Amino acid sequence: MNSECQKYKEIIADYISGILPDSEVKILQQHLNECKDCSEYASALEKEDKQLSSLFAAIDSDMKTREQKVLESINFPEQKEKSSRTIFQPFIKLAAAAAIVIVVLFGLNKFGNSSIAWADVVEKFQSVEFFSAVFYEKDDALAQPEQIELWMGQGGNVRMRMGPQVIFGQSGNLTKAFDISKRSQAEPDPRAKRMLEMLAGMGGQFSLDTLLKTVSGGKLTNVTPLVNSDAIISEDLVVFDSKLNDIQWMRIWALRESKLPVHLRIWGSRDGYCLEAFITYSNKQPAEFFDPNAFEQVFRQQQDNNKSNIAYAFLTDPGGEDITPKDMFNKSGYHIPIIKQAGITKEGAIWILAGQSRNRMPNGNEFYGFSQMTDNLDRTYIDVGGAWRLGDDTSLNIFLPIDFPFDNRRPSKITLFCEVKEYNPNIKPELVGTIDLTQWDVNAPCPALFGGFTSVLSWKISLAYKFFADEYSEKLSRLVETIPAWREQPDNKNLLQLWIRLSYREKDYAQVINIGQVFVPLLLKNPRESSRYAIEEYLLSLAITGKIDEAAKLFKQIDEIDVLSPRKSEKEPYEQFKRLMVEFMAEKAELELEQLSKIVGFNINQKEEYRNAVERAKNAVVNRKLREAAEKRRQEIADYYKNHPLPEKMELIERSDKKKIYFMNIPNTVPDHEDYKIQSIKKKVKFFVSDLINFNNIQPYDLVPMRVEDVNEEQELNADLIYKEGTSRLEKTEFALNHFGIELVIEDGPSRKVLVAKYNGQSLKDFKDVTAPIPYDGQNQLKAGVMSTGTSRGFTLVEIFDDLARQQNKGIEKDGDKLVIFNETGISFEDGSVSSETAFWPDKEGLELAKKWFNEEFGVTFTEETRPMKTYVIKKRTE
Amino acid sequence: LRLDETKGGNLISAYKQTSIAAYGILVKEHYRTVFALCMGMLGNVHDAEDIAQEAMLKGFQNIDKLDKNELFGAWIMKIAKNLCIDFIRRRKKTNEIASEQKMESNTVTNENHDLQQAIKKLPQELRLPLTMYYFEQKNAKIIASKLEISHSGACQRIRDARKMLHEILTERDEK
Repeated sequence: MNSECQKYKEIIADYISGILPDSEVKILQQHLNECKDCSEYASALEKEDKQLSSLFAAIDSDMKTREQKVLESINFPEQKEKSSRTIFQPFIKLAAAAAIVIVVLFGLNKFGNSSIAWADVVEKFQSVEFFSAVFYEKDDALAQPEQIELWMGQGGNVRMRMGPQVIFGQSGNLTKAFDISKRSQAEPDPRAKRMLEMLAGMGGQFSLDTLLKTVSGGKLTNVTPLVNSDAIISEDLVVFDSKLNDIQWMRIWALRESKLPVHLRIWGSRDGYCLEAFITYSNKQPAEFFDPNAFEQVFRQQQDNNKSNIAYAFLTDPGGEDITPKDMFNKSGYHIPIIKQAGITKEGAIWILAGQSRNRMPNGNEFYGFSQMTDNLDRTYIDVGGAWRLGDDTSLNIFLPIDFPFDNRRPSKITLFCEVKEYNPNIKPELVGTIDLTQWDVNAPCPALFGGFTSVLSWKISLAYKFFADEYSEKLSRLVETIPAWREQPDNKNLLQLWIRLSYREKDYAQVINIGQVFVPLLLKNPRESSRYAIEEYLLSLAITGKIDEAAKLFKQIDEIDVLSPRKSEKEPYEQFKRLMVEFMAEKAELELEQLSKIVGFNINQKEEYRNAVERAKNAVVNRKLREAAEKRRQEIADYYKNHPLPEKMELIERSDKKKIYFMNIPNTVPDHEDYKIQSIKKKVKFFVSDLINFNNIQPYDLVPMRVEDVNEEQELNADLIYKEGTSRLEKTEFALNHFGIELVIEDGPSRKVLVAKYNGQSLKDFKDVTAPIPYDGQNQLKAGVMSTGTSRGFTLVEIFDDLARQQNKGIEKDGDKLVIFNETGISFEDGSVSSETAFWPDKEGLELAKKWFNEEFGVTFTEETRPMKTYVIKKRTE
Repeated sequence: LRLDETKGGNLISAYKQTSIAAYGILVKEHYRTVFALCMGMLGNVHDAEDIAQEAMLKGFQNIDKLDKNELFGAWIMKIAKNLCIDFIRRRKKTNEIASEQKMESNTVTNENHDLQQAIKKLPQELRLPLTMYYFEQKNAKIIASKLEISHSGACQRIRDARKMLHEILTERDEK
């Protein structure tokens, strides 16, 4: 390829893309006919174009399904239409019926001498301060009814709940609507909107006439229900009937003395259509109840996920009963359970039996008994189990010292902790209180109040599972030696399951299979109590050892039984179980697609929901081959250093086959010399430079003036770099470039203003106590200071700072006046997490807020300076 | 696919007035472009699906805030773009944590073997126009208008993307 070709090469891409001007197409085609290199290059690009077209066409083919998913997530598919069909039209009937409630009160009753005059009813209704109505409506005899709740107060205040929506109105105008399930403001249900408009006619006070006229749309004003004396069975109620049309009639129950309607029914004789309304009256609700802004504040509180707390916020019961879990909590608060009995077994386990054990949280969740304990010997205790009995509100907690059963000391005092159990690991448990105990039953067996879990072995099994984390491996080994071998108790399902997991942990797949063969019949003996997931390790071991037929048999065996949890009849959880098993086998056993399909009994490649598994399977096969190549290369390098001295810092060893080695899931260290690492290189000079940018070795971020002088960027290095641990990426790059006689020179460039962050050395808080300045509330998510991400492991200062710098340094290469942010706090990854959340820091407002937050939370301050910027020059080595 | 903003505008009015279902038509009209944008920015079908869905949902929840003079297509693209940026930052954060301990092995795993992985390796400013090029029936003018860049800029990026992709794939083949 000559320089002429280089010029054509530039336009071949345009030619393939169809964007080359016609005038140039002909010239290029002529050149392609004459030049083999360019022709090959064009063919290669054309082939790639076809591959890309095919790839994107494949992705595009699923677009309809994706659209459908979006529509479903927005929740306005057919159900909406269906609901408007079923409820909107009947609501007119419903409203009409409510109106008729009033009309019917003109009737006379055979039980009483007094008549109920319309004027009395109107007057009475006007005097009511507040009423609520609950409507239930169904389309036909077998349909499930839908419920609508309506509250009205004097002054034109209306509040409704319709499905997941809570809707507020004032004098006929809709003020705000909220969707509880989405936790956001919402477009109101059209039915609610219509209903509010109809109620607007009332003006500032209740008016039956207006109500009648409004809700019926003027259609039922002339209806006059008659007393149905046959339907009256007591003196205190008046019953009226009215025929609405040939197929529907209405009945209203009203209180004789108060003249208030309390119940109405519309009935469709043809299909069983039914609308029931129950109307209640009480003293007015607090002002907040009708205030959408007050409701919104409750609504935005992220920590309260209880739908009842939100749906009925500020609603009070006139009889003083609790409406929501929050009401219950406000009355009861938290309490410490009362110790009924405590004991220490002869093995050293401590059990606590407590009454009044249940605590209720404001969000409706419950927790029982005690969460942890300590003693005067400073020992750590592990909660290995517990139970509670709702009947007499009793709980049993069993705690083992962490060195059970090897620590035989006996405490003289124990302290029990009652803590609010939050499911969110980011939230520190709130302490309700502690109890100190100095007396208990000695050498007392644990009471079998809850049907089991009193044997030492069951506690040890539970403790063993707690030790599966790596940091407890020594404790686990020691404990396991005291646990019987699985063959000693082949009927003990829990013991077998523990040994399966232990053997799998040790990668003793043959042993897992041995135990699995005994375990599965036990599992299936009483499947109602067992989990489908219990076969996971057994199935994986069969897959890993290539016993595909046996794995298929096991899967089929499990698949045929419905009652294992999750039940086969529970479609979604069961499908999830299958998907997870396939994904585990794909990844952990590195099976190919055909093998996976054989095990589960269907072609996973043809099922959309298995695409993750398919992708994993494809990757797993590639990864396995790469890993084998890497292992081979590691050994070659180890052999090399048997006869050669290790370099002081680094060394390049060329590869004969020029194939790059990928260290995936295997260490990239030199065997027998673990402080030396291997970096396999197959890279052009220009990519060395881009790697440096990617890994932020050249700071700051986007501002990287770079110059290349007299160097062929296309040169490629094929070799393995052996380097001592701790060597920086910059050093390695310089060393590799040196191989080509190239050097990286860092020059001082023009100066500019920078903002330097420094740390004043103050002690850092527990990261769980540090959150973003403004919590995320679903609305203002892109504003400065609002939480952007939260994790249970927290974020290091480096990460948080990097986040700030990325947002603030955006565009610095174009805007010379923009301050460049430098992190010179000296706080590193090793200092651990400092915050549980990160935030958005856009623009100047974000920077000001960040400065304040960093200072208050971490003692990091920012100072403005002027510094020279670095320019990076790649050029031929001069020496 | 052509964007018909006038139609979009009418639908939004319709939506605001009475019909929730009108948003369904907007979804059908704009989802594909939003997905293409997400795919281009994130380089991954699954992530693109998630973020495109989130964008459409966010559009649905916030449509009241859409200025009457603003075009729905541009507005929803802006939402999607912001969500992608946020997602990339979160993803990057996760990667960086992992890279602390296994920097070397992570470096090599980024270089991959199939076409999708090669596309993923393209810088975002090239991957985005290339992806949209194939989603928008290879029409550089449409891409230019949707990405709010010049036609020649769009052509340049497609050209660069194609060349770099070829280099990556060639590098792969040599392995």
